[in-house]
Amino acid sequence: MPTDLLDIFTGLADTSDILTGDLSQYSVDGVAPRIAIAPRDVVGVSGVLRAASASGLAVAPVGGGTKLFLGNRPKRLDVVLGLRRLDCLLEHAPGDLTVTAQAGVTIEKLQSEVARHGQLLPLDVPLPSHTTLGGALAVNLTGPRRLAYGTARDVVIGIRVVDAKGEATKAGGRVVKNVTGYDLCKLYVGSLGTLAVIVEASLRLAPMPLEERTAVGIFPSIQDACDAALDVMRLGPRAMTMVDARAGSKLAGLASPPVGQQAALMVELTGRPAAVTRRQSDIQATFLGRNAVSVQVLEKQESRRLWPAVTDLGWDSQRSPQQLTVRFGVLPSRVAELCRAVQEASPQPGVSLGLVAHVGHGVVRATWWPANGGPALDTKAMALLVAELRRRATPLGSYAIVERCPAAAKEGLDVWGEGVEGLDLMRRIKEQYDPQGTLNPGRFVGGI
Amino acid sequence: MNRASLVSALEAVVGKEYVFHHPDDLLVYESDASVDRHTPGIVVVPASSEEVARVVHLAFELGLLLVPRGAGTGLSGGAVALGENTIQVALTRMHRVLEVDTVNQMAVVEPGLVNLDLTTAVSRYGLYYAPDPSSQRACTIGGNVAENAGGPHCLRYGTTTNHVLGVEVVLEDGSVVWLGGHSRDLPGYDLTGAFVGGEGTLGIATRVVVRLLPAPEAIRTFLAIFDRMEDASAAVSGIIAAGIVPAALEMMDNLAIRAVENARPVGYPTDAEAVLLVEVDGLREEVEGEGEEVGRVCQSLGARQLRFADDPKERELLWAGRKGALGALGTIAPNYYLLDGVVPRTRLLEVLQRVKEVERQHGFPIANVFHAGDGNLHPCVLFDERKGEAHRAIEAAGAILKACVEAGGVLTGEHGVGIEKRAFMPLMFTPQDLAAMERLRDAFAPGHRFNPGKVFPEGATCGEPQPTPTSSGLPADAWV
Ligand SMILES: Cc1cc2nc3c(=O)[nH]c(=O)nc-3n(C[C@H](O)[C@H](O)[C@H](O)COP(=O)(O)OP(=O)(O)OC[C@H]3O[C@@H](n4cnc5c(N)ncnc54)[C@H](O)[C@@H]3O)c2cc1C
Repeated sequence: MPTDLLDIFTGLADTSDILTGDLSQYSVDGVAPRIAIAPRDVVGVSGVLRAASASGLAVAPVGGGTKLFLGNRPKRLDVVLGLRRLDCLLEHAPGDLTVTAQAGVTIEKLQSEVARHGQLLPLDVPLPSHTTLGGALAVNLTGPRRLAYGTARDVVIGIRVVDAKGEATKAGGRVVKNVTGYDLCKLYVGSLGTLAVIVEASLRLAPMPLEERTAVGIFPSIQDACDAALDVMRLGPRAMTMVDARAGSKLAGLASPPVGQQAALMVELTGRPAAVTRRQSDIQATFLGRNAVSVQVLEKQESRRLWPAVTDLGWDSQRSPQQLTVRFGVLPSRVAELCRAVQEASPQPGVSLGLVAHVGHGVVRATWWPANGGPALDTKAMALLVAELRRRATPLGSYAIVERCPAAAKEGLDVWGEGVEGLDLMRRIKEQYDPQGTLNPGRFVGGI
Repeated sequence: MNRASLVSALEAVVGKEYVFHHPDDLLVYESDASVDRHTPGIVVVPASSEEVARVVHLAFELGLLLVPRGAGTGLSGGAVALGENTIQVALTRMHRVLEVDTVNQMAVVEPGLVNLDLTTAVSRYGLYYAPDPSSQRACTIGGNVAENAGGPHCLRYGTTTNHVLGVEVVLEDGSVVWLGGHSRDLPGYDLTGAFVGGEGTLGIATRVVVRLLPAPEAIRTFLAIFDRMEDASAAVSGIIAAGIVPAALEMMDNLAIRAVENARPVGYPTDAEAVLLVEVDGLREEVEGEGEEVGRVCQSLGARQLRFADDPKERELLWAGRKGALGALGTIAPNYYLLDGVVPRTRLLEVLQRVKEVERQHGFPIANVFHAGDGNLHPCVLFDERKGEAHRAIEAAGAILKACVEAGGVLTGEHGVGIEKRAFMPLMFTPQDLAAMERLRDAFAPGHRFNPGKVFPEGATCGEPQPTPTSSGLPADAWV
């Protein structure tokens, strides 16, 4: 470790907070930091940021490290600021349906705590056992149950952050309705650690439903599955996701289109048993009317195994280094069209495409895995593919964000895409909150 | 540029009949539904986003201040034009529904559209717009966006911010930008979320993309009357603990009950301490099941009367007392100061007791009519301005807001900070917290040209909270 850095941080952070060992294990997209520090409390976080910004160092806040590959490669990286040690669950108020916790608590821990009172945290993020609350909020990735609960932005009611200069501030509160001052929670959620470091948050909870069941329809075509999905949207499912054959094959046999069929549509129904039963029969009829070749109903236990697997699709930690995942967002009515466009753009031999479409909110993920034994896409082919995807997605009103690709492939492409609406305003926001570019420089849209 | 040439320049943009500058014409624009008054310099009423942009650009060039205005139903002075020669931009001519997309359950509307008109426009498709401020017959979507308006049914469905997908905004220099839009999770910061609740200080919303929901298949409304406030509060907690988040969960206390019975009787026993209104909606089976549960909770807590209705007309009757309460208070006191604090719902009872203490200590009757389900209190301090009581009523209000914050709550749940509560902001926020908020305004509107003097405590002398009361200048059928 360079001694100049030690000089900067000793005294400000407890020296035992400075992590030792091979620093490459803390790399962000292949860029190793010069020092890694994991403070035990908010004061420690402030100390690190104050020292780093005073010395012009670049800091990457890191939670569970499960989604560090999101964004462009860091322009600069000196300090990895680990937040796992801020792991206090501060308050669960069952009667208020709220919870307050520090950023380093894992989503799984939060879920199991609130589950003891028959409640759930309405955030279905991939890899919950390793994902921290702070990380989940910073990336604001949404899972299938967004249909019922919204995203992290709808769930967060209060937040504490430490800004780039080390100043701790809060916004919002612990109550479920609040318009006191600007809603800065919305700004920090999804900002990928580029505006401030989230150290604590309060969130709203939901009661656990009495019954959970999932109808799985197998369809000859993606178009049929999407049509069926639009038909059943009004029944108020908690989640509704379509997978193609390749993605479905990764769902432990629970929703895998057999040979010759192109899509499986999963619709999760929750609520009182009688209400679930009626909707279940409505759905069966609708599916069959839309050419489904089969409809199967998964009871609670299986349904509960299915959805975490759907949420994790493409995010598994033993990823292939050559995986490419691109996220799109369209109107629900254009999901089928978008899927077709993606299939057409996809290079045929050797690489196989898996599609996961949350038809109810129009978020679609396409993942290219190297096919068994076949050649992987090289970085140049990836860049070409992404360009082609963007060319086809734009007329459908969609962006194409590269969520996952080998670090090397990022040299040739901007993972967020060009022409982001409101970019000037976003730059002014960054300029206000982090004028020196201390936090995650370069990783966000437009090189923010 | 002198005033006359400014007027003609504005007339050139929006047309002669849509620029108001004679003192008589400006009168209606000098206040909102709170009591703060200030005469704007000029009022312009543009017809399109392009016209708004040209007006804003002109003001920018001339270094003038601007205040957006919807229907003027705000309760915190948001639409009152502070500052010298401020131009008020009224959005009321821009009231079209531009697009309804029934498949994707969304609509694009102009900001001057009246909230209820949106639901009326889409109801034939079996859809509705969920946020329902009690002022929904008058208030505009633009005003709702600016205040992040709530309403009785926001308990289950969320407030305005949860229903806005995108906003077209005219920025300070007259440039037009889309925040968010039709697709979800656009790359970049959630500018839509940051803009909603900006109280007109960040920019002027000129188009809004909103989410629509399928109308519920069944609705059941319960009216439960309790002899003791303790039991009514326990019923609120009991319903939530039973895993039910009702569509609405509203409460009124004894003083409000007596006011209603005095003004437009609906048959409440005047010695009851609390009336609880509970509404559940959704699929028929869901409503049946939740309804049974709600009934069970109320009964087990000794509800003195329990009625319910499924039919729209009968449900309206059950709501009548609740909806008439604010108007009724106007019949028992010349003025009232309406508050909007929020507390964790488990601490309702404790805070209501604090309110009772304030009532005793300050010597003003205080009625409570409120959104119990989400802990959103609306204490009404009754006073008589003619007796010079306004100042002391404000002190009582201050004591209540303080009690809310001390109980882990906040200053405002839906009415906004505006002029009214800006001096109270330091009760909740440190100077650093406020500085972090100011940065957002510095990014959106670096010249602070929009809605000056709102939200933030003014200058260095923010020691003594000096709010201004909302009074009973509201129409008799108003409710909150
Ligand atoms: C009887 C009564 C009951 C009420 N009940 C509720 C309730 O249940 N829930 C609730 O939340 N509120 C309630 N209110 C408060 C009020 O109706 C809301 O705050 C409403 O959102 C204001 O809308 P408006 O069109 O009247 O806006 P105005 O009062 O005209 O303006 C409010 C604010 O919005 C800004 N603004 C207006 N249009 C725009 C625009 N296009 N772009 C940017 N800024 C803009 C203004 O500058 C101002 O700061 C009630 C008010 C009354 C009088």
